[in-house]
Amino acid sequence: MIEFRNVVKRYRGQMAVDGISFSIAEAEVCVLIGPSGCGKTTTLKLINRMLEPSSGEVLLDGHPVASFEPEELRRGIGYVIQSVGLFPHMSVAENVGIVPRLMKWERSRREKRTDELLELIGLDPAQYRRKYPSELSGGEAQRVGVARALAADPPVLLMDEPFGAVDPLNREILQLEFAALQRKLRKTVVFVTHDLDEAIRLGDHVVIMREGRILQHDQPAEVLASPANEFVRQFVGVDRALKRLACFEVGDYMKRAETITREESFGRRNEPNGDGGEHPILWVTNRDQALVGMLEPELNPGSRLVYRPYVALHPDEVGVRPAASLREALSRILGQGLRAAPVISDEGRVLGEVRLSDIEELNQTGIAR
Amino acid sequence: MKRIGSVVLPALLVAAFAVFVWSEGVRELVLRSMFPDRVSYIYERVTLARLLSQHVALVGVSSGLAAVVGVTLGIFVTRPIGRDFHPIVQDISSVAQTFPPVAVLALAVPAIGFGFAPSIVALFVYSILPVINNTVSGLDSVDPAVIESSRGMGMKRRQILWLTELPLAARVIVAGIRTSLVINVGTATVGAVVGAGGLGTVIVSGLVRDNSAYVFTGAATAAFFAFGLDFLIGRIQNRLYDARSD
Ligand SMILES: Nc1ncnc2c1ncn2[C@@H]1O[C@H](COP(=O)(O)OP(=O)(O)O)[C@@H](O)[C@H]1O
Ligand SMILES: [Mg+2]
Repeated sequence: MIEFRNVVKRYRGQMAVDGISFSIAEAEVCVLIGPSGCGKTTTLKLINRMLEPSSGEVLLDGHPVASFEPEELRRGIGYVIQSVGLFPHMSVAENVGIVPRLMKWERSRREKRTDELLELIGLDPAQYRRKYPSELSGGEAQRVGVARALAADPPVLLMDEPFGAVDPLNREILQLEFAALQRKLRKTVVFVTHDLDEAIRLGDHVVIMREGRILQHDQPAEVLASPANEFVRQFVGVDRALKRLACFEVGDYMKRAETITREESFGRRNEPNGDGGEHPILWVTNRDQALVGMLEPELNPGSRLVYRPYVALHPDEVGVRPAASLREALSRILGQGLRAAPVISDEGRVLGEVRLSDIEELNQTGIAR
Repeated sequence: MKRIGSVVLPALLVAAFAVFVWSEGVRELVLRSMFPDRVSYIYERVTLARLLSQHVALVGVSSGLAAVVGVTLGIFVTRPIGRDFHPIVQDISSVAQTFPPVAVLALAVPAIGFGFAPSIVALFVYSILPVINNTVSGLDSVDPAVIESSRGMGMKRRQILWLTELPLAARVIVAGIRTSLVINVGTATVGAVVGAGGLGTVIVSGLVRDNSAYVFTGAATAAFFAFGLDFLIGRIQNRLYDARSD
């Protein structure tokens, strides 16, 4: 969908982008990441001709971007600028409708589209349409920025540190919303960030840059498992093993869980069963299959299997959803001091469990050194 | 309550002003109560309404030209092609504004001569300065991130100017036009000395004949005119985008 061919961008002798070649497939999120000044923004702006390369070329759908008229090209590419960049003198609706207005859509069509987009990003049109950017919270402004970029339904979206100015808690919410939106819209997204966790969470591929060059271009789990060089290793950090777990979904590593009802659980206490095999935690559920507690197995000094007394559990505290990451599951497991965490549906039903042993195994096979 | 302040009161004031200007009977009554024992209360050569309309013409033409040319120049020096002139224009306009307006007019007489047209030129030259100044600083103060974002949305240069820069700078630009107008209403009275007509005529005549009723007539009318304009433009300004409200 987007291809860089040996692209160089120089600013009066200073090298901003130093001969990069890579491509981005349709409907994928490609995250450009690297320290400040490494050329991420420059790379992004070469795509919509906000900047022209000193040499090399950028192709969009097989056509050199230089063959399009710049303004036409930009109207067809969604752009979310660093530091929001909403028009302060325009209402939310006017901001969102700006590209359709430049494309001379009829007013009624524009208004319909604006409302549609506000709903899509979770802002009630009736309440937000007439507000001005100064009346929005940081998170709301960012959402409007995304809606504005999507207005003319462009196939490609360029996002330059879109959530950089938001506090960590809201940033995470915005990231999750964006991930959900992207599953629905399947745009080709080029996303710039300097936040590695964000890159891992959102990227299908990450491109790690330094001083205008690409050091590694791979899937997040691969980059974390085998960094291409010392710089990347340092960049991803000593906790890369832990970060890598964020690349995997609980649902893919879920195992069958043993569940019993509360009534059955009375009889299971201290049931002798000393065959030396694996002894799973018994998750106790109520009539609706919802998690209410557990019986944890223990081998007593005589190697006899016993169950500790019943412990009541709150599903939201111990359980993880299938869409959660293994990193989250690990944190639950360690937080509870258990060997596994139950996988819970939205209604609190026990779907299965993720085991500490599986996470350890995945970790050892993935990370070479 | 709010309507009384913003609609009823101004309307009453305008009505009182109109009666004062157009009804010589009422004016004579008012002036006689303020300045007893004068030989004459009503300037006999030209009607006050006519002097006022000359004044409006002087101010309207000179400030209108100043607004159009000033804003255009201000835009020019903030574009890539005019950037080189940016510092010069800003220096000239800030220095020139320190001259008292009367001095500008006095200098203009030997240079341009007497009459309506030369007064227009003198008024124009002086009052264009705040317009240029404010246009330049208004446009310069637009957040570069917003301009960048305009480009990113696919606006052409002209669209960036009309849809982003001018609306964001409008309040500051209009403030410059407001200053220019108010200054011109005052300065234009001095135009009478150089034969431009206007409200200054009756003031000068009052000074020569030692008739404070004449002086008051001209001064009060000019002052009301200035206040009225200022009020009107203030209301326009309030509708424009205010950077401080962010
Ligand atoms: N307009 C410019 N003029 C000169 N140098 C620039 C300009 N824009 C960026 N640079 C330089 O190019 C390099 C890359 O910048 P940028 O792409 O903005 O980095 P990043 O977005 O990764 O922080 C930096 O060293 C920066 O100083
Ligand atoms: Mg940047």
